[in-house]
Amino acid sequence: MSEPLLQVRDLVVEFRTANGPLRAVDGVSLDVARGERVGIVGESGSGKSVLSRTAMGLLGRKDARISGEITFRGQDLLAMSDKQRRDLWGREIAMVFQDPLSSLHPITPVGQQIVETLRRDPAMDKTKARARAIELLDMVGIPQAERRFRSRAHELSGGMRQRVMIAIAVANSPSLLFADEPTTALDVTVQARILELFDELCRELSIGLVMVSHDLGVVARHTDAVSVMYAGRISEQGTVDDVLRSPRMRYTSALLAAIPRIDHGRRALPQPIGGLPPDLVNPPAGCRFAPRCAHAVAACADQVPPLEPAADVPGHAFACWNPTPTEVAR
Amino acid sequence: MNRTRLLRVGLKVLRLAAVLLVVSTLCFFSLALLPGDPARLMLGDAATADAVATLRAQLGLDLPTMERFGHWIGGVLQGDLGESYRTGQSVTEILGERAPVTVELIVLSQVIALGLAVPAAIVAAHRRRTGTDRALSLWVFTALSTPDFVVGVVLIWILSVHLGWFPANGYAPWSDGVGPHLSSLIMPAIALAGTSFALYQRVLRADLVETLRQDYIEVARAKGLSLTRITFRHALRPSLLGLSTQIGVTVGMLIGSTVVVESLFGLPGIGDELAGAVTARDYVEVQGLVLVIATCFVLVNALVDVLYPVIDPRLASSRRTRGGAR
Repeated sequence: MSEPLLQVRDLVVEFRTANGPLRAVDGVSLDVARGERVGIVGESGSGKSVLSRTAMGLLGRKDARISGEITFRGQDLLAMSDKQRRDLWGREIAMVFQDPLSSLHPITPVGQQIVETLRRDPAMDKTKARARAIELLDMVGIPQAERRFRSRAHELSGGMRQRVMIAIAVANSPSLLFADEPTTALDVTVQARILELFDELCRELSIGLVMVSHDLGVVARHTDAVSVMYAGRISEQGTVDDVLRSPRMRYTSALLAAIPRIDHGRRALPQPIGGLPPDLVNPPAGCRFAPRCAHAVAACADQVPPLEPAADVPGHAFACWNPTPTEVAR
Repeated sequence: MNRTRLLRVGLKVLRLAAVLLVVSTLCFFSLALLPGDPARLMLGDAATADAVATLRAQLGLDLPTMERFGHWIGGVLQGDLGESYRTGQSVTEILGERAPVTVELIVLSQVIALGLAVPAAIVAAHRRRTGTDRALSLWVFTALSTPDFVVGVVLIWILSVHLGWFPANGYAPWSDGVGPHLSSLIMPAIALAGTSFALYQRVLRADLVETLRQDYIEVARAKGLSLTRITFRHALRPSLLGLSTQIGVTVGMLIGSTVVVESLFGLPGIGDELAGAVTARDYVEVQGLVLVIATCFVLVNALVDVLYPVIDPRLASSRRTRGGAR
C-alpha cells in the first residue's frame, strides 16, 4: 500500500431538486492504494453509489455541483476534459454494476461486448481481441467460453452475467475497479463465488478495489478497509478489523446489532434501528444520526461531530460525540 | 418445432387472404352504392338511352351485382384483374406501367424521411428538454399538421417558380436521363415525406430516450466509448422496433397519399390513375388497383413482422423458450 491510487478529499456532490439543493455526498475523503480493497457501507440513499460514480468521473460537473478534489494517480479527475476522462475509463478505471442483466447489452453477444472494450487499445486487432475475450471468459470462470462468446445476456444465468461484467471490467487490466453492489442481484451461493473472484483478481492484477455494499458481511470478509456512510457523510473509517470488531460511532454499532446472528442464540435477537434516514434537502443540524440514536447527548443535536482518529488507533477515525466504549464492543 | 413454424406461416397466409377478401368485398359493394353510371359517363349526356343500354350490356353492367362480383373474384383468382372500361386495357398492364413510378416515389420519400428523421431523433434524444429538442419538436409538429398538397404547392412556388431548380409539373422517365428523372420526382417525394418524417422522428426519439436511460448505456460510457459509438452501436438498434412498426403502417397509408401528390405534380403513378378511375366510375379498374394497394399494405406489414426478430433476437428466442434462465 505504497502510492495512493485514488485520493478523494472533502468531496461534496449536490443535486438541484425542486425542493432545493440535495447534498448526496457531504465532505467525504477516501484513499485507495494499488491492490487495496476498500469497502463503502451504508443504507440505501446514504450516498455511497453517488460517491463511487463521482469518484470514477461518470457523474460530472454537468450533472451536479461538485466540489473537493479527486485525484487518480496524481491527476485531477475533476479538471480533466471529457475526452481525457473517457480515455481512462475502461482502460485504467472500470466499474462493475449492480444488476448484470440490465447492464449487459440485450442484443450484442456477450463476447462482442468484451471485444469492444479490448479494442480500446489500438494495438488490439479483431482476431487478437476475440482470442483474448475467450481467455477472459475462461478466466472469470465461464465454462465453454468459446461457445458462450456468442451468447446473449438473457441466455446466461445471473452469476454468469456478472462474471461477464467482471470480464468486461478487467479486460484491459485496470488499476482501479469500482464495484457497485456487485452481488446484490445474485443469490447467496453465487454471491460467495463472485466475491472470491474479486479477491483473486485484485490479488493477481493488483487492482485497487472500491466495493460499495449495504451488506456488512460482504465487506467484512472481502475488503481491507471500510468507510461507513450515513446520510452523505462518512461516520466511521478504518481497517475492517478496527471498524467492524470494535465500532466506535453509534451508527456502526447499531448496524452491527441489527444483523441477525445464528451463533448468538435466542438472547441476542437483532436490534432494528428505529426511524428513517434524514431528508438530505433539510438535514438535521448536528449529527445526522442523532434523531435515531439511542445514545444521543445534548451536543449531538446541534454540533456536527468531526471525523477524528481514535486516540489509541490512529488509522481508525469516527465522528461521534458519545462513542461506543471500546471494551463493550464485540 | 418445424411443424409449428410451418403452421404459423400457414396461418399468416390464411389471415392475409382473409384480409384481402374482406377489402375487395367492401370495395366492390361500396362502389356499387356510388351514384353515377360508367356507361353514361363514357357516352356523355347526349347519348340515347338505347346506346347507354347497349354499352352497359357490353360491359356486363346489366348483370346483378352479386353475379358481377362472382365474375370478378373468379378472374382475380386466376390472376386476371379485368379490363378498364375506359380504355379496354387490362388492369395488370396498367399496373405494370404505373406502379414503378409510385414505388419509386414512395421509396424516395422514405429515404428522405428517414434520412432526416433518424439524425433529428438522435439529436433530440441526446439533448432532450433543451432548446434544440424543442425547436425540432416544433418543426416536427409543423410537418405533421401541414397537408401534403400544401407542402407541394409551397415547394412548386419556391423551387420551381422562383428558383427554377425543378420542373413544376410532369414526369421524365429514366430514358430522359438520371438528372431530369430525379428532378421530376424530388419535389413530390419531399411533399410526401413530410408526414413520415414527423412520425418517424417522434417514435424514434421517444424510444431512444427510453434506451439511453438503460443501465447498459451507462456501462458503455464506463467502458470509455465515444458518444457516437454508444449511439450507433448500443442505443440505436434496441430502439428500432417502434420505428419499424411505424414504417409499416405509414408506407401503407402513403399509397393513399400518392393520389393527391401525383395529381398535383402530374406524375403517371397509381394514385393519379386511381383518382381518374374513381371519377369515371371505372369499377373494374378501381377494384383492381385497390386490391393491389391492399396487398402491398399487408405484405409490407408482414415483412415488418418478419424483421422484428432480426432487429431484436430476444423476440426470436423468447418464442422458443418461455421465459429464460434466471
